Amino acid sequence: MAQVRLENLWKVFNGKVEAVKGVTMTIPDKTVVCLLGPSGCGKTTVMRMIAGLETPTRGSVYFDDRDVTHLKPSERNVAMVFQFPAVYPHLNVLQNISFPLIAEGLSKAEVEQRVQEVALVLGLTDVLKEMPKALDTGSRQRVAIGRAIVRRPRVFIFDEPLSNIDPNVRVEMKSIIKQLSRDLGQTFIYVTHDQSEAMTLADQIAVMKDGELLQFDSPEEVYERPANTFVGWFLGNPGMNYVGAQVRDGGAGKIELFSDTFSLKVDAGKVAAGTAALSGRKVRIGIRPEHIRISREEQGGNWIKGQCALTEPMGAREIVHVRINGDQIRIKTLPTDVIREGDEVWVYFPEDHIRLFDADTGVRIGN
Amino acid sequence: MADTTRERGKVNVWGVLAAIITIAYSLPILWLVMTSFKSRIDIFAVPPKFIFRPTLTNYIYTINRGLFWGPLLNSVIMSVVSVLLAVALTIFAAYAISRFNVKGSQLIMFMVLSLRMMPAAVVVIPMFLLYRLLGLVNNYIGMILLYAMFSIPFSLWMLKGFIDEVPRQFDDAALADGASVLQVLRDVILPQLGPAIATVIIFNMIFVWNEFLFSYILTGVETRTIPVQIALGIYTDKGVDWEYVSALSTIYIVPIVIAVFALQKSLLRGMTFGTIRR
Amino acid sequence: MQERMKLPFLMPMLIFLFVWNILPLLWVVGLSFYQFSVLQGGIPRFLGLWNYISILEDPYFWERFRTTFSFVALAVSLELVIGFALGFLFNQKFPGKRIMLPIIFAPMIIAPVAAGVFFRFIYDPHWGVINYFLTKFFNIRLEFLEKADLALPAVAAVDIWMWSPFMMLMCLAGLQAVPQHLLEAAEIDRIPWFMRFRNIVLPHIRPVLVLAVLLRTIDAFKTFDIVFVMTGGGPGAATEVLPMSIYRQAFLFFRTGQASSLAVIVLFIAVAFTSIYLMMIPKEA
Repeated sequence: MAQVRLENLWKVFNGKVEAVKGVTMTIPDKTVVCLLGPSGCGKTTVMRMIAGLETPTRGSVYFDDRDVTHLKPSERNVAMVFQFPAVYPHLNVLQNISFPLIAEGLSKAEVEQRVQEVALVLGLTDVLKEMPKALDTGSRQRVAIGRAIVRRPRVFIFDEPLSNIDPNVRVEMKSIIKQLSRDLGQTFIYVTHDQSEAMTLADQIAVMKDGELLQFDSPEEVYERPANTFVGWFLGNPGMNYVGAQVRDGGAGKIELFSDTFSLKVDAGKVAAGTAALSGRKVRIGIRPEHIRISREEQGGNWIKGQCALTEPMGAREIVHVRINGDQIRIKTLPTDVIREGDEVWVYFPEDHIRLFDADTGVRIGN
Repeated sequence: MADTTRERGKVNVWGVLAAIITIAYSLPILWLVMTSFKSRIDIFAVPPKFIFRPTLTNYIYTINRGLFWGPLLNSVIMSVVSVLLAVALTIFAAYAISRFNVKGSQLIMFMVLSLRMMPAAVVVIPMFLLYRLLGLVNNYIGMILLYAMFSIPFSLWMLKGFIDEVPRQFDDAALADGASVLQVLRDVILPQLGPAIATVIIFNMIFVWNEFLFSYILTGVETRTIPVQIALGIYTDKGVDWEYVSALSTIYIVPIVIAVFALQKSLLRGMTFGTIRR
Repeated sequence: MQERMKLPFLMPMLIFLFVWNILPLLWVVGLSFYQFSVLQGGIPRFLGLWNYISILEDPYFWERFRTTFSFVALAVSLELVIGFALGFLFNQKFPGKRIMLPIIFAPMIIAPVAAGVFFRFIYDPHWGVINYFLTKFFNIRLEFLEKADLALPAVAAVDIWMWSPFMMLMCLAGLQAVPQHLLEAAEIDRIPWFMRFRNIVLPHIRPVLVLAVLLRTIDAFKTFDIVFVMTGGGPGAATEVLPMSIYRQAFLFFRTGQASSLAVIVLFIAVAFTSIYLMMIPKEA
C-alpha cells in the first residue's frame, strides 16, 4: 500500500550516457501504471531506480512520504518480476516460492498456507515438486510471479514479464496478470514496450522516450489526445497519421487547414481553442487510421484528394495507404476490392478526431 | 547530490582494498626488481633498504660474468622454434579431430592430456637414456624436438577447441566450391584462427621459457637455458651471488609480465588447457 | 571424400608423440622391472616386481607420499580460500581493475625457478626481508628453509603465492556465470546474504571450483622446480615430494630401476587424476 513519487529523477551512466532525464511523476496508491516506450527509452532504468537496483544520479524516490532514494532494495519491501524468469535454478517450485518467506522466518504452517494459496491462483499446484528446468518459460514466469506475490509487498514491479514468453502463452499470462492486479489491489508498476499490453493492463500509462517522460495519463487520454506526434505514432496499430498543413482564419468560428492540394474548414472550438494564435502557423494534422473515411468518388467539401499507394489485407480489416501531398497516411477500413494501388481516392477526417500538432516541435496544440 | 558521493564512496572501499592487495601481491616481484638495481652493500644491508640509489652495476656485472648471451639466446631460440614446430604439426591433427570422424579421438585427447598432466620427473629418466643413446644430449636439435613434444598436448587441446568454434558451414561452403581440404584449412580456417593461434603460441612459449628439469638434465654449457643458469648461477666462489640472480631473473621475467597483459582475455582458457572456454 | 586426408593430417603428430613421448614412457615401465644403474651401465638384471615391492615396503617412500600429500593439501586448500576471497573482491565494481588484474595474475606464469630462487632471498635468516620484520616486531628469527617443520610450509607458500590467482581466475569465471537478475531478484526478495550464497551463488560456481581444485591438485602434485631450487628436497627429506624423490633416486643415487618404478606409480596417479578431471568437465563449458 503505497503511493510512489518520483521527483526530478536523473540517471547518468559512466558520466556521459543520460538514460533518464528529469522524470517527475506520482503513481497513486493501488493503481496499475504502465511505463511504456521503445527500447532504450529509459523506462527500465526508472523502474530499477524505484526498485532500488540503481541509485539515481539526481532526484529522489518517495514511497508515501518516506524518502527511499538511498534504501537498498531489501529495505523497500517491493517485489519484482524480471524479463527473464528469475527462478532459482537449484530449488524446486515449492522452495522457490517459499524462499523469501523462509528467509523472513515465518512459521512452517504460515509458509505452507501462503504458498498453497499462491500456487492455486497461478495454477502451479501440480508442479510444486518440479525443478525449474522441467518447466516452460511461461510456467517459470508464473513461479517468479508467485514468489513476488507470496511476500505481500507494498509495490509490485513487472519488467517486461511477457517479452520472453512464447506468444501462444502470452495472452493467457496477460489475463492472469490483469486478474492479479485487480485482486491484489496494490500499486503495480508494469514496464513494457508493447502498447497493446499497456492498453489492456494499465489504469494509467506513462510514455517515455529518450529518457524523458512525454505523457502520463489514462490509456484513453494517451490514445485520444497524445501529448505529441511521437506518442500518437507509438500507440495504436498502426499509429496516428500526420499530414502537414498551414492554418488561417476561416471566418464564422472556423479555421482553415490548407496546403497546396487541399483545404479543410473545421470548427475552431472543436479542433483548437483560440483561432487568432493559430493563424499562420505550420501544423501537422493528426488522425487515427480507424477514424478516416475513404471513397473512390469525389464527395465535395472537406474531402481530400489523394492517391492509393498500397493496400494491405489484414483479415477482418484492410490497411489502405494513401499519399497526400508528400505525406503518406494509413487508413483502417473494412476489406474492399474496389480500391487498387494507383487509384485516385478521397478521404475524410471527422472534426471530432482531428488533433493538431506544432510542425516543428511536434507538441499538440489545443485540445 | 548526496547519493552520488555515497555511490562513489562505496565503490572506493572495494577499490582501495583491491589496490592494497594488488600492491601486496606484487611485493615479491617488486622486491626482486628493486634488488636488481641495488648495489651489493644495499642488497645485504640490515635493516633492508627500501629507498636507495639505483644503479645498473648488477646488470653490467651479469652481462659480463659469462654465460649471459648464450643462455638468453638459447631460451629464445628454443621457445620460438620448438613452439612453431609443434603448432605447425598439431594444427593438422587438431583439424582432423575436430572435423573428421576419427575413431578413438576421445582416447587420443585423453592420452595427450595425460602426457601433459604427468610430472616431468617421470619422463626425464628415459629421455635421458634415449638422448644419451642417440647422442642428443647437449644438442640443439634434441632440445628443440623435446620442447616440441612438450608443447604438443597444450596446442592440440587449445587448437581443437578453437577450430570447434568455427562453424562447419565455412568448410562446407568452400568444399562445395571445389576447394581441397588443404585449401579449406589454409584459406578458410587459418585466417579465422589468427588471434587464437597467436594465443596458443604465446602460452606455449611461456611454458618452454619457464621449463627447468629437462633443460637441467639434458643440456650442457652450450645449450643451457636461463632457468638452469639462474639455478646454477647462484653459487659462486664468493658465496650466493644475489646481484647476478636478481638481475638475471628480472631480465628473464620481463617478457612474461608483458605477456600477461597481452593474454589477459584468454588467461582462463589457456590455464585450463582450453577445457573452460569463456 | 575429405576423409582420406584423415591419416596424413593426424599421423605426423601421433608418430612424433609416440616416438618422443609414449616410447620413453614404455621404456620407463620396462626399466621398472629391472635392476639398472645409469652410472654402472652393464646389462640390466630382471627383477620382476621386486622394485615395486621394495618401494611399497620401505617406510621412507611412504613418508614421501605423505610429504607430497601434505604439500598438495596445504597448497591447494589455501589457494582455494585465498583465491575465493580474491575472486569475490574482484567481482565487485571499482575503477582500475584492468590494471590490477594482470599484476595479480603475473605470478602464475612466472618461472617457478625464478620465484623459488627469489623467495630464498626473501626467506634468508640473516638479510631476508621477512626475518628483518620478524626480528624487529617479535624478536624472533626463523630459518624457514633450514628447519624441518618450517621448510614444507615455506615452500608451499611460494606455490600458494603463485597459484592463488589461478583459483581467483576460476572463481571469477564462476561468479560471472551467476545470472545478475537472479542476484537482483534475491536482493529484492530480501534473502539474507548467506542464504543467497548457499542457494544461488554456490550451486553456480561449484562445477568450476571442482575443476580448479582438480587441476591445481594435479599441478601441485608435479611440483619440482620450486623444491629443487629452494631446498633440494631437504632439510633431510622434509620437502622431498615425489617428483623430487624420483629425481634423487635416478640422478643422485643412480638407482635407475627403482626410480623408474616410483615414476610408474606416479604416472598412474597422474593419469587417474586426469581422467577424473575430464569426467568433471561440464558438457556445455
